Amino acid sequence: MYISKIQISNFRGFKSSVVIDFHEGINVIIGANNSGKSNLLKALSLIFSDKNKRLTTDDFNKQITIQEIKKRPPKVQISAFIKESDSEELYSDDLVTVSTALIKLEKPYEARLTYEFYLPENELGEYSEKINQARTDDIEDYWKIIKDYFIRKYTYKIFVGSPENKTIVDYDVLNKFDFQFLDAIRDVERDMFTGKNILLKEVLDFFIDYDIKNDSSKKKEEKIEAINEKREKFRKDAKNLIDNLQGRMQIGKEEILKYAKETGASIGNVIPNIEGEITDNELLSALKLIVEYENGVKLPASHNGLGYNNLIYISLLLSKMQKDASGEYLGSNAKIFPILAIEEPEAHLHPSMQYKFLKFLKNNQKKEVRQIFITTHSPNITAAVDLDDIIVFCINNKNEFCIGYPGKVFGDSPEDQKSKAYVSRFLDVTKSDMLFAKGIIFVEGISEQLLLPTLAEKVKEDLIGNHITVINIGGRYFDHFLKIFDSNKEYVINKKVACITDLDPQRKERIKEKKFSECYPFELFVDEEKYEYKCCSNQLVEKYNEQKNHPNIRCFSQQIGFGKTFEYELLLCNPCSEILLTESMSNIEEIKSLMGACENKDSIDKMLSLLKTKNDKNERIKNSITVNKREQWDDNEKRKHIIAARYLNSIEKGLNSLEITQKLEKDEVNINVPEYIGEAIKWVCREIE
Amino acid sequence: MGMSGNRIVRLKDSDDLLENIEHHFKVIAGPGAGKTRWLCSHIKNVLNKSDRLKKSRKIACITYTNIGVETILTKIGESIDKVEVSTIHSFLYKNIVKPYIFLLKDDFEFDPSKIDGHDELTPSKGFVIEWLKRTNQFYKDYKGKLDQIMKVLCDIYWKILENDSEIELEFRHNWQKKIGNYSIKKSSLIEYKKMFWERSWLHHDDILYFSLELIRRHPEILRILRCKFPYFFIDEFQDTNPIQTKIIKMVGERETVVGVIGDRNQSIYGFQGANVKQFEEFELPNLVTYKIENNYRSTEEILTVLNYIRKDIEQHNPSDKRGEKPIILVGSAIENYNRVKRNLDSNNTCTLSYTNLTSCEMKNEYIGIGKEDLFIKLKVFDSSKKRGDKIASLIKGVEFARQNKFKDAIKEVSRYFKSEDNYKGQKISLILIKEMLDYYEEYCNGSLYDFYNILSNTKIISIPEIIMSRPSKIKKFYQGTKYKDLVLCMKYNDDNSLHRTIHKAKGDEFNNVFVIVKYKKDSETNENKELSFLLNPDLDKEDHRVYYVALSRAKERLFINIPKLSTTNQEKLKEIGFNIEKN
Repeated sequence: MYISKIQISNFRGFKSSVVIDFHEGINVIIGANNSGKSNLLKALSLIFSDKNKRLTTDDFNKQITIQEIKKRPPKVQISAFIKESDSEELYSDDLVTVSTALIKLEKPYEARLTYEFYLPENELGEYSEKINQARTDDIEDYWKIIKDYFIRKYTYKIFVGSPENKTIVDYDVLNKFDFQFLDAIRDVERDMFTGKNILLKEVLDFFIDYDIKNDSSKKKEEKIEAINEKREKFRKDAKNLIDNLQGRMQIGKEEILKYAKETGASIGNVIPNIEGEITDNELLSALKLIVEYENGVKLPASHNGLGYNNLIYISLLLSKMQKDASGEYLGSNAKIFPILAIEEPEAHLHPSMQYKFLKFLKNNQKKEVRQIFITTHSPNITAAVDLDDIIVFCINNKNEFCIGYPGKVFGDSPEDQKSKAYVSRFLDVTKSDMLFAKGIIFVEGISEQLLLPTLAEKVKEDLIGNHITVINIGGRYFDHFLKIFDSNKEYVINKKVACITDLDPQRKERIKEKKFSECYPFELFVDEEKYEYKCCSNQLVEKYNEQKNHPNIRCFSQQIGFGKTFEYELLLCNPCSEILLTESMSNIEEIKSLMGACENKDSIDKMLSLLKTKNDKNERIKNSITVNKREQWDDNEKRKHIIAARYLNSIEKGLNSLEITQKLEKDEVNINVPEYIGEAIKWVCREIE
Repeated sequence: MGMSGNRIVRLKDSDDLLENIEHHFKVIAGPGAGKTRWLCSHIKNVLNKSDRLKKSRKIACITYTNIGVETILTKIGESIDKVEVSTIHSFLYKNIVKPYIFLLKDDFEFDPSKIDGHDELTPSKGFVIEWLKRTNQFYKDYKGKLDQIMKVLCDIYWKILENDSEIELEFRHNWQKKIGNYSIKKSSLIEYKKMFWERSWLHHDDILYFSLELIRRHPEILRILRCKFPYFFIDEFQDTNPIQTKIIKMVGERETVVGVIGDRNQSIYGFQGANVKQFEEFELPNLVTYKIENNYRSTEEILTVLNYIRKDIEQHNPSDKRGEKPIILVGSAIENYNRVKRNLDSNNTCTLSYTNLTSCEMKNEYIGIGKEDLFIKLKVFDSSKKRGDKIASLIKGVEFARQNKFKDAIKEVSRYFKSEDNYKGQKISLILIKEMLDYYEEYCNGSLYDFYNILSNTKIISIPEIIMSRPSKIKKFYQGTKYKDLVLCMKYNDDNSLHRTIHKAKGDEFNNVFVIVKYKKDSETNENKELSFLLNPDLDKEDHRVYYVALSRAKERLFINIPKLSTTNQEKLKEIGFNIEKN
């Protein structure tokens, strides 16, 4: 079985009947600060943990209205739904555990456990009297009444099955769950390292003589026999030690006890003495956790770094959970369903250790722990788990709480499965940021990725401050990713996504076997007898254009008929700006002369004659510009496009953008930001505010 | 234990354990063979050997009474968390009805959240009248006969039909169908039940019905039962209700190993639908039958009589335990009992009566006026329904408390005070019972009116006043009814006192047993008829089996009391092995 979902009402940030789905194994919950991740773990612990089940006034959801408060006292309700696993055996311990909590008996069975924190029925009269006496419009006054008069009368109960049936859970049921919660501010050193500490001692006690306990060739009685033998031997050895001590104490003891004789403490035949015994169990307290380095140096574990100790702590905890689930050791007290909840495991952990730790948990899951819940802000952790493991909490643009399940947005169709595989492979540490950000700008290539933050500053927008991330898709596979965010669908992560893409116009000779190939904007529709044309080879542009008015996705691109690529557009907007000329590019002189000509508004022929280098590319520009007699294409337009085309042929994309970015970072340097880029940035930022 | 070619395998004694614990079995054993002892050893045996119990699965062990549950719990000691020992009703309630009855809520219109256990249910006067109205039966047709109707309704039970697939409500006795000149419509009985269910009240018998109904509609429940209980043992199987048998057979179809233990000749609950044949004919695939023959309980002298009554087996005491011959006492039961008791050194002497009335008479050492159920009469007679119900309940509560059955006492009384305090009426019940016990001497030899008077003087609860200034039927009834006669109508659920009905002594044993043969007050007792279990024993007759059970409870000494005895019969009884004492 596994906890398949939790339903939370009126608890902290969760207003009414918020449902969060889980799956077997690891569940990684991510989301912005304050989105409710920790409250989710707390909600789970209210049901499954054996401590801290009482709440305070501050734990109610504060969005309820005065009317609601007047109608009935606020009540917290949290239900965990537990479902049969696909592979579960017919007669499992699991089913025994939840048998009284079932709400669906057919396979896969489903059970429900509900925590309620409420004002008992018999207090309702007094409640409504007090609440209705308060004639104020300030909701805080009502909360104060609840706090001052009623919160102490609130009680909590855990119900099995449907909560309307009011069947209170058996201790037996809850006792089979083991909820271990590691909160973010944990003091691991306090909790471990010496055998005096409960955690380490429990673990040591369980694993002592593990060779015998774990020997499947021995029968139960033989094991007990073998262990008793060892204990007996220890007792004898310990006696030798004690005798040794006694010997050393012999004379001193008389000194110590002589006063006893004099004060009269020894009356009659009673003589005080000093004696003692040590059992193996007691001596476990003497053991400490240490770290031994390869060179033989030993240090107590408390000298380790925090991060390291966190790992040791968690590993000890896993050992303890293994112990608590051992039927052999604990009989029917053994835990059936150990749950591990970790808040921000990245705390104090180096990113690569985060990755390793998560991989470990994922591989060892099921042996010690049946289900794991992790909240995190770490892309390293999301990168280490499957897409299906990830749950995203977000606040949409209507300020509503919503939950995304990136693994679930993909259906069973081959198309969707392909997308899923693609996204899974793609979601490395840097790109995982798309899951955390408040808004996303997807771009096609490295140039846009590098330049966008700087361009954003030029249009007076703050990407980092708004937590907008720019993700380079490295191509045109936007669709794969957009599936995760398309708010018209289920399970998506509802956030603003702007796609910045190129028109990349194309043409194709009207001959059967010919294919479309890229072309310049000024080549479009010039010779329709010979060619077929596409102003835009990218379907995305139309799919998400402004007219489509998609609620959270929009595509931004150049002006149809005139645009080609990002760099091309940069030049169109800044045809005479030498800032765009960089060290790494070729043909600098040629382009400089073109820019000068453009500024002088020289004739087109003059411009074309400046394309000195003899090569196919230049020839193509010359020819195409010359044959273009279309009326939209005046000389001004043509001049810009000659430079842009030449520029495009002279750069290496990534390097060039990096150099431009460095130049632009100086405040006084100015540049015209391509319109579509500016719009995209503003759209993402503005919609969020 | 040796295997023989015969399908019945003989067990040496109650310590003879099974090597193979993974097949269905039936253990046949007469009285005193140590059935319960064997069962407890077998449970321990399974706990040691089984690898199917895993972390949380358990052995289910069903016994007939709560006393039986306690006996087994004590014997199996520390392993109790691996064994669920309970009566069938508690078992089915806990494992089927309580957790899953919500599945029936749409069809049966009850509120699962209000269902809280199961009980013996007696309708109030208003309840019966409402039922008559609902079922289009005319109140005036039954005027003056409401108490009879109540009795009939209290007695109805769920019966599984021969074809094993249908279950329906049935009158306990055929003659109960007719009250005066009018027949009660059988189809109206279900409405009676539904009226209780609407109020979220379940009768003990309804637990069997709902369990079977739930399993029928949701066979997945069988998976859950098999999952929880890989082993399922039932003691006293000869008295198992057929519905229970049906459920157990279904559970045993796979995964769960079923074991039943019993003795056909101790089947005494025919009136609850049990059937002698059920134990004999109980079959499951590859079931192995075992037999334990000896009797470790009784002396050879007692066994002589038992063997005379029972012909199918001959029991002997392996240690050849000897004692006095059983004695037939002639005369008044109370006098004879007191005389016998004085001469016995053991205080473990129990009287066993055929009827509840007699056992109450023995408890109170008081012979009452007859066999009418005065509690029902009180409920019907009282013009104020609330007064009648509350007073009846309170008297029962006081009497339960006097038998140290405080839980039963509070449960009985609190049902009428549920909303009076924050403890479902339990607090006020406790105060009432305590108060009335303090004044017990003031009314126990008086009339019902005395009881009422003291109750209203406590001022703890308000009781509608009985107007004394003018004569009325109700005044006459309260003044004319002795408190003690009401006490004789008490029924005790788990009677562990030393004055019990034979039925309540099932599975138990005592050093000395004092059996009181059924006798009549108004007409002369027909000794030939009442003693036929000795004169012409035939264990196919249920009343003979009841006496057989009574006689076989004795370890050391056995007494049988009869009001009179002819010389002829004296001789016959002497021949069988009795001494006769006449006063």
